[in-house]
Amino acid sequence: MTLPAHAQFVVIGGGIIGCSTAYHLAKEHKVDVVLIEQGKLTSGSTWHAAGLVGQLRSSASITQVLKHSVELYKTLEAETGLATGWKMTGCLRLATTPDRWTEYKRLATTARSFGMDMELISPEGVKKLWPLLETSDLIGASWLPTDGQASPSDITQSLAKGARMHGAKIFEGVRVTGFEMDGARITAVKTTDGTIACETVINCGGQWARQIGAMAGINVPLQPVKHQYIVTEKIEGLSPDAPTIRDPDRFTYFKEEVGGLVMGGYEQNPIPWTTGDVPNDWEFRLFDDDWDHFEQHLTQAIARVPALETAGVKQMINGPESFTPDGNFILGSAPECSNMYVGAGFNAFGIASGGGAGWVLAQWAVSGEAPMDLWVVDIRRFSGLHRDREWVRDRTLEAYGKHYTIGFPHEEYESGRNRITSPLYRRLKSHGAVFGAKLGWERPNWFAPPGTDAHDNYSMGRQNWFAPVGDEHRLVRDKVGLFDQSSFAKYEMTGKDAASALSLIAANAIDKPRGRLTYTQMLNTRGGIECDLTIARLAEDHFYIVTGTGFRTHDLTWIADHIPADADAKITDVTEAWGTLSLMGPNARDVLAAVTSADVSNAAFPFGHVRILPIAGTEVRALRVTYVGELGWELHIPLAATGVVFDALMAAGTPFGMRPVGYRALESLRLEKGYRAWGSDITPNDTPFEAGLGWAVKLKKSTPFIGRQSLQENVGKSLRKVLATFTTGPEDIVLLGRETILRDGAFAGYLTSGGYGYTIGKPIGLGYVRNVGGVDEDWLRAGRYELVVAGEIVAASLHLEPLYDPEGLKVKA
Amino acid sequence: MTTLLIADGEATAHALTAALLLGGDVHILNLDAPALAESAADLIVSLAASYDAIIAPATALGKSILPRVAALLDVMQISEVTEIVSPDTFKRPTYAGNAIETVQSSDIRKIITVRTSSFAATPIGGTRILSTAPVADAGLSRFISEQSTHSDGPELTSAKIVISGGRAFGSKDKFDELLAPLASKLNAAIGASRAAVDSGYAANDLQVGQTGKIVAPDLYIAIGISGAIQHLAGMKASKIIVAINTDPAAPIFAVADYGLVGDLFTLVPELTAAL
Amino acid sequence: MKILVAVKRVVDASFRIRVKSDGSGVELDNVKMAMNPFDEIAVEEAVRLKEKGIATEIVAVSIGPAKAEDTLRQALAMGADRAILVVHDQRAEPLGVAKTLAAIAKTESPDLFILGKQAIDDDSSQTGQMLAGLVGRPQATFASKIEIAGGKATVIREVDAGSQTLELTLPTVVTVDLRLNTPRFAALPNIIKARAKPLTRTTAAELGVDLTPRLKVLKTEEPPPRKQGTMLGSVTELVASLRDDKVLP
Repeated sequence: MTLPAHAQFVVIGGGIIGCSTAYHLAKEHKVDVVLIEQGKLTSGSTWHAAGLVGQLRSSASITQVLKHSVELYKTLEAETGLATGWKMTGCLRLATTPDRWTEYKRLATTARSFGMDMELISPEGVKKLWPLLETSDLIGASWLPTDGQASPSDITQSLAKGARMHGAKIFEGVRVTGFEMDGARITAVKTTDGTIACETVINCGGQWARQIGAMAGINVPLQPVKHQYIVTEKIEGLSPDAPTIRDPDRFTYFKEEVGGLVMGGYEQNPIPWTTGDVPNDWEFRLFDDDWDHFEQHLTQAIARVPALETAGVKQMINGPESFTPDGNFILGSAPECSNMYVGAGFNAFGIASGGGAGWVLAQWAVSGEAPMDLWVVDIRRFSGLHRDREWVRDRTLEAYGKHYTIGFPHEEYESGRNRITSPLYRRLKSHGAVFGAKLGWERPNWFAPPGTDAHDNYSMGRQNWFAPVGDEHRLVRDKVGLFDQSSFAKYEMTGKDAASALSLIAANAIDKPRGRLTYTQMLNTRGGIECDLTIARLAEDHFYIVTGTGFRTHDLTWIADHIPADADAKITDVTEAWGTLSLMGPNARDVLAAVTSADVSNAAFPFGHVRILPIAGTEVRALRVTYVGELGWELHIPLAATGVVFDALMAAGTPFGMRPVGYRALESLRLEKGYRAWGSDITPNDTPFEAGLGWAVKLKKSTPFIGRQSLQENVGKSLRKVLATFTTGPEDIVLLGRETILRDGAFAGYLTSGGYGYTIGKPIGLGYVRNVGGVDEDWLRAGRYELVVAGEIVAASLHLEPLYDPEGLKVKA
Repeated sequence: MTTLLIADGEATAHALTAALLLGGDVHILNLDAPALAESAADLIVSLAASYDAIIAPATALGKSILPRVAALLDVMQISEVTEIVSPDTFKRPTYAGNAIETVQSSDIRKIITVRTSSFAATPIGGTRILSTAPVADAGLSRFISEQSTHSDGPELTSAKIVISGGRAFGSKDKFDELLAPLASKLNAAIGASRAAVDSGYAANDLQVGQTGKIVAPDLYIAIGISGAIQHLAGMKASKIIVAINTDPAAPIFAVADYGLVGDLFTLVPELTAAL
Repeated sequence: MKILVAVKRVVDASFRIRVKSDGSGVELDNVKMAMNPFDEIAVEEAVRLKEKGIATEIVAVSIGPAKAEDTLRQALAMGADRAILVVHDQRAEPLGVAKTLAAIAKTESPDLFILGKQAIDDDSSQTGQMLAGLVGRPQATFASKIEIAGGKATVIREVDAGSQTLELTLPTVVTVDLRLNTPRFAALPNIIKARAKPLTRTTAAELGVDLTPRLKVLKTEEPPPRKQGTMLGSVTELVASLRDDKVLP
């Protein structure tokens, strides 16, 4: 078989991800697919994967993706005749500490929210399922009976066969050597066996995905890390159906294999492989055993499975696996190239993900749009920061080390910090700022009062910042506070067609007079929310766009990709050119008036407007907008002058006791106002009408915009879900998101955000109330609500209006 | 240049070819059977001064005696030579034949064993046969007995023929029913893929593959095995590989010398009957 | 009775080796290594002799790079009592290795040397025989059975025609073949214990041995590739082909 001269889709990589993607492309989309693999199928890292298949993740969509894998592995043999080795053994996660147990209670609640039956069982229950396990130190375990294990190579061969059955052509021993490009578009794939012209390239190159991407100018920030496990001889009494075990308190896992056990672990001191290129001939290869490194697991494993006292170790596997800086895989359309998709960086859950990841990646590549909310794995979550190989390595190793540590709420990474600091960093630090990091930026999370420890002390209950953040919250509600939000992503869009292009992309009417602001969503063709941002019109042909720190690459790419080809409109990222200070609170006008000669009265500068104000000798872009529900301004200041303006504002704020305020107070303030956060409360899975943002959609105008058709078709139909606010009675309930919503005792959705409102003195959650029969206000109000919080049922109240200042009088004061 | 050739039955004629390629005269030394390494080595060492090279076929005898000779003469021996490049330069296989080394010896005297299958036979007639006086036995070792080839059933890792079955057999009954008669006809050992072991068709210790047994028989017949890399790792060094599978795209065919596409339930009995 | 076992660190047999394209040798960077399989059999035999109460101490010796410690630790995990590592980063030949072992034997004075019949990297099959010559003791190669009694070793060895039984006076050198035993896999507690067992490091220079290779490796190349397989149409064709290849009678 010779390589064809042309293919619609070229999939690079014959591991489980590439084969699954080719399978779904060929089977479900009937497209012309060629898969090329430089060695043999599975020969990179698939072949040495341990084969555990877990399904539950902290994102509902990703959990759905993993569930799809299991469904596929169950049925694939019937289609292809090649077995996948799938065994539904179930998975036990063991807990030996109260914090771990709390984590599992929350996990089991998340599972229930996502429609999976995870039970928490006693040590006796564990013993029954796995008699060889030492259970005396256990508090209990979580039990997910539908998890299991499979044979990585067999699945891949079966998927490859299925792909071939549906017409895909698979070539082994063919390596990509480069791409022919037309600007940012690939026109052909150059290989060791000739050139294939193509429309779309899908890079499933595993640990080579980074260097394959680099040939087309795209960044795939993954890091190969050495992962070891052992395989023992047969162990008497070990059932072939023994559940897989994860024993995170001992950093180890177990899986039955040929009568013996596979035992591996996640070390706190992982060992990276190269930050350079992975050798092309790394085919069916492993590293030398590293017992010095693996030794830490031995006593832990014997303590858990005493039968290991006598079982011989047949083999040690030390192979590289691709890990990423945040522990999630990398999927989707690369921002730097218009027709390369990526599916790589699977963090040792590639077998669990493979079936489903190929399914969604195929849909994405065919339609050009992610078929569901895949934000947590979206390649557009990265930025220029992630081109730094050393940074990626350090952060990835930290994430690897956290694989089995207890996930405390609000935890921050420690590596790769202080990457981007605002000019205020030192000033804020002197005010006791405790920083967090977002896409490289250091941001003040909260301010430790003088004499207290300026660090996060993580715990499962209320953490040490809880009271100080309450003081910050009240300062903003009662007087005035100053937020450093310089990390906001900021773009400028210019050109004579800028307004018409933005009108097409934004759901709200943005073609307003100069000096006006618009809060808008941008929708996909399903009407799902892809972006949530503020657009300020500075001139006829000049817009200033502000969005969340983390959405920098995503939103820029979304807008740039949807500017009509023939339009005179250009978008530029100006994030680092502007510092941002948000001056918020009832006394905000007093402070602002004291530092500017401009008229900042409500009449001269009403809500929803942008003005250029002179402050401390600098022209500042002032946006009258708020995310906290108070009178206030976002002041966008040329970066170099941010310090001077900050000092001026702080001096003017002294009479009101103004202090800098951090992001944790911001979160509390916005929850009381019911302001939505993109990525959790509003996602590509949710329409503005479901999210209660229908008022920001220009459906009544005749202007076309992306998503309009889908929304239009649903006008008059009842909604399946509606976002609502919940409060609970007991004040000490910790809400984090993903808690189950019960309506009249029955499942009705889950929280998308959770926190605490200091003004109302109650825990607050936002979440969609769901009902296949339709959701309307009467139905919502007629229900009796409870939340399941870490396994406990807690009475809750539903609110369809903001909890604070429902009329919005404060904002417009 | 004069070469001393240590004779060992039929292998001698092949080694002679190699010896002649060194150039010069060849003298042949016949050792009295059963030759004990200690006294044989002492004898050869006593003759060594007259020779530029000492050569033996890489038989059990040659492999046992010659290194002892080499050590006593402080020479680094060259084993299993497959090609004489020049009187001091030789080719020999390493890594189970996966890497061929060309080596050059700086020792004054060359001591080599040669792989007989790499050299044709040369009639010995006319070559000088040494007659030597028996050497005194040092008394360190004693010959007790010699037995003909063992006759117990073939063991998986040392069998000359291995037949392995995969999950396609569908049950333990079928696995045994179809493979046992074939194994007995071929005097073969039975192996299994991991999937077959997992499914309970065969005992764990029959698993051929990366986590099981590594085999390299003369003939390996893989039946109903798709050929996952873990399996290939355990058998790909076999001399001749036969694959029988319903799926023509099964990876096992990529390593097979002979492939048969078809239903094992008809092909295996047919094969058993044909033998 | 003291046993000295020699073990070598080689490329793991289950992995395909790669010949460097410049002909300078075989790729050894980032390659999975293991104890030479025949040496595992040697260690196993020594451990069994100790378990039977015949041997009292097992000393494992390796000549190789610092990482050869892993190989010695494996021998210790299998049951050897202590280990000697002769640190040597360059290629060592059987003659040099045999001299090194002979030098160690001077101080250790073992009653029995057990070695693998060959290393699966250089495939030389020389070291045991050379060692026997250098220490002036009897040898039995390719052993499939070893019995020790009354200061003598009775060894069944695999020879071309079948097997041969020899009686050797201790101290003696035995090299072992595949059928001698099936080496055990060390269990985790033994792996842990092995990490604390005594391991002495020395060098060939300290032992007064010159390990400079005598052979110059001019070139290392891949053998001609395996011939393309043939798809056959019937069992009859298959049987005929196998008979042509002389693997079936």
